[in-house]
Amino acid sequence: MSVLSKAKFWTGLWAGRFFIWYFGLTGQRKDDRPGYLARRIDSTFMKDVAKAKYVVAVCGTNGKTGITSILASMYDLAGRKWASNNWGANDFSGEAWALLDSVNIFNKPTKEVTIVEGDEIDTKLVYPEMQPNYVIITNIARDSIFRNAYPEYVRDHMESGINSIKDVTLILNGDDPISFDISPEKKRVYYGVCDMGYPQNTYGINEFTICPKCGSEPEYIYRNYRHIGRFKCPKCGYGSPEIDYLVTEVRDNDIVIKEKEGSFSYPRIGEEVHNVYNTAAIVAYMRTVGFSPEEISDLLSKVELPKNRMMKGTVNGIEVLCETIKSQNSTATSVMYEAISREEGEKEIVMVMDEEFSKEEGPLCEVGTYIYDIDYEFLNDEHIKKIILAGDRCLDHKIRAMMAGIPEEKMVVTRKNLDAVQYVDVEGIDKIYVLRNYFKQTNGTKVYEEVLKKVAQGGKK
Amino acid sequence: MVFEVLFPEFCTMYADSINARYIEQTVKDIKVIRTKNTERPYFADHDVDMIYVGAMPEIRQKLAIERLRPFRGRLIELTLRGRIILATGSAMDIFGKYIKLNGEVTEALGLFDYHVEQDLTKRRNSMFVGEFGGHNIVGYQATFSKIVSDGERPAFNTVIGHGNVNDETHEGFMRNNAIMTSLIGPLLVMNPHLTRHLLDQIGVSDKLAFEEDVIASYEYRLQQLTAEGAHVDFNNHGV
Repeated sequence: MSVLSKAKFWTGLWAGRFFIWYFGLTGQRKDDRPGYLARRIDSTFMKDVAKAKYVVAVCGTNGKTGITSILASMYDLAGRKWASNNWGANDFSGEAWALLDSVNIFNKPTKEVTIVEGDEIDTKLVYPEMQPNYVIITNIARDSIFRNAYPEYVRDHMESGINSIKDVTLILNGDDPISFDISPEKKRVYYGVCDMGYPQNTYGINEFTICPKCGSEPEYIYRNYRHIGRFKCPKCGYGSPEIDYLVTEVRDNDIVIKEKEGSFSYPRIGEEVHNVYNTAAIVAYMRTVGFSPEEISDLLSKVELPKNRMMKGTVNGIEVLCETIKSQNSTATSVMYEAISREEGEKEIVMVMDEEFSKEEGPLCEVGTYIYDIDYEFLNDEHIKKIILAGDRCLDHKIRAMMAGIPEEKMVVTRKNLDAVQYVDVEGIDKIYVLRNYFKQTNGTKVYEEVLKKVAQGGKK
Repeated sequence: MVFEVLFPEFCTMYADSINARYIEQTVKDIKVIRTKNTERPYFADHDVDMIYVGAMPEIRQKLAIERLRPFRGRLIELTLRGRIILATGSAMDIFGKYIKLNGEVTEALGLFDYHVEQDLTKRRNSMFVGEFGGHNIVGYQATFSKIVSDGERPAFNTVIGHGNVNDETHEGFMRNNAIMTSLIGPLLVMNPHLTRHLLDQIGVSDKLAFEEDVIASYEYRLQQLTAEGAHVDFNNHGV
C-alpha cells in the first residue's frame, strides 16, 4: 500500500469511526453515512479494513433483511460480539458501515462476526473486496426492473462476486432452481423444505421454465411457493440437490430439521412459508459454524421478527395487520397475497404502495410494470370482502385486479393514502390488512394507525 | 381473431405477457395459441391475425432466433399481408439483421433493416413518451441494446426517453402492421389508443377491456410523465 493509499485508508477509518461514535451519542446509530464517508475517502476501504473472524454475507431477492436481523439478534442473545447493517441498509454505504463498526481506530477487529446484508446486484463489486467467509443466499426472483433487470442477470452478478472469493462456504436454498447451482466449485451447504402440502398453484409468472442444462421444460416434484420447490428435468435428469438441512415437519409452533446428526426441533419464526425457509437458512448457517441444535433452538425462541416488517393489533374483535412489502417487487407482493388468501376469516385489504414521480424522490420514482406481474388472482376470493387501493398507481392495481376477475364493486380507489381509511368497513370483517411500501413505510404506518382508530370506534365487539 | 403468442415460457419479462392477456380479454371472438419454443409455430401452417413476442433475457435470444429462422419467409409474408406482429423490449432484437455483443455477431431474422449493439454492463432505463397516429404513447424502457436503424421506417416519434441511437427523434420500427419497439411491460394496457388502432387494422371493433379505467390511467400517467420536473431518466443503471 502506497503512502497516499495508507493516508486515505486511515483518514477514512478515523472519520468513519468518529461519526459512528458521534451518531451513537445523538441516537442515530442506525445511520450508514459513516460507511459512505469511509468509502468516499478510501474507495477500496472494504478491501483495506481488517475483518472480523467471520464475515457473513446475506443476499438474495427476498428475505435477506429478515435473516440478517435475526442472525444479529441471535449473536446478541448469545453474548457474542457482532456488527451488522441489520436495518436494511444494504447498499455500499451500509456494507462499509458494518465492516467499519467491526474494528477500532487501530484497525483491530473488535467483533467476532460481521453480518452484512448486501444487495445482490452489488455483490459483483463488493465481494472481491469484502471476501466473506460465508454467503447465505435466500433466493433469486424478479425484482425492481430498473435496478435488477431479470433473474438471470442477477444470478450472473452474484456468481461473478462469489467466484472472486478465495475461501467461502455458500449456504444455499436447495429449493431455488435459479440459485442453487451458483458457483458450483465453491463449498456449499443446502437447506430446503419438504412439501408443505399447499395447492400446486399455476402462477401468472413462473421464473423457472427452462432446464438450464438442456433447455427443455423442467417438471416440479412440488412447489412451496412461486418457483421455490424441487424439480427434475424429464429429459436430461438435472434436478434439485440433496438437502443437508431439510425441514421435514412444519407444525404450529415449531419446525423439525433433519440433518446428518439427526432431527431437531426449532421454534417457528413467523407464520408464512418464506419464514420457514428463512429459519432453515439460519439453522443451516449456525450449525455450519458450530452452534449446537439446543443453542440455536434456545436463541430462536427468544428472537422476534423485525418490528419494522409487521405490526398488528386486535381491536373490538378485529385483527388489524400492517404488512411491509418491498415495492417494485411483484414476487414479494404475490407471496403476500397468497399468504393472505390462505388465512381464515372475512378479510379486507388496504393497499398503500404508492411512490411518487417528483424529481426530489430520486431513484424511487415508480415503474408500473411490476403491478401487472402481481398475481392478483389470489385476492379473487369470496372471503376477501373489500380491496381499497390507494396511491398514484391505484388505477393500475385496479385494472390488474379486474383482469384477475375481481369484481369492480369490491374495489375502491383513491390517490390520497389517508383517504383510504374512510372506505374501511368493519361490519362482518375479521381481519384488515394494511399493505405498505417498504421504502415509504411512514405513509402506510399512518394509514394503519388511522385504521386502528376507526376500528376502535366502530368495530364488532 | 387468431392470436399467436410466441415462447410464453420465457418471453415474460417485465410483465410483457400481460399484453397477450389484455387482447384475450378484450376480443370476444378469439382463438389464442401459445407456442412454446419446442413446438412448431401455428402461423407456419395457418393464417393468424396477430403474433406477439414479449421481452426475453439476452441469453434466450439465440434460441428464439433459431426456432423462428425456418419460418422467416412466412413471417415476411404475414407482414406484407398486414398481419400484426408486435415485439416488445428485447424481443425486437431478434427481428433485426444482427445482434453484436462483445465483438460476436449473431445473425438475426433480418425481417427489418436495423441492427442491435448490446452492452450487458450498461442498461438504458427511462420513462418514455412518444407520438403515434395523433396520440401519445407512454411506457418504459430498460434495455442493454442500442438499436441502430439501417433505413427502416420508425414507429414512434420520441418526446421523452430514448429513440434509436442514430435517430433519437424516433423509437422502434413499423412496417405495415408489424411494430418492433424497445418499450417494455404492459404496452397495450397502458396505451388504449395504440391498442385500438391495432385492432382496427384487423377489423376487430370490440370495446377495450376496462376501457374507462384504462383511459383514465393512461391520461394520468401521461400527465405525470410530462409534468415539469418529472424524473424520467434512469440512464446507465448497472455495474
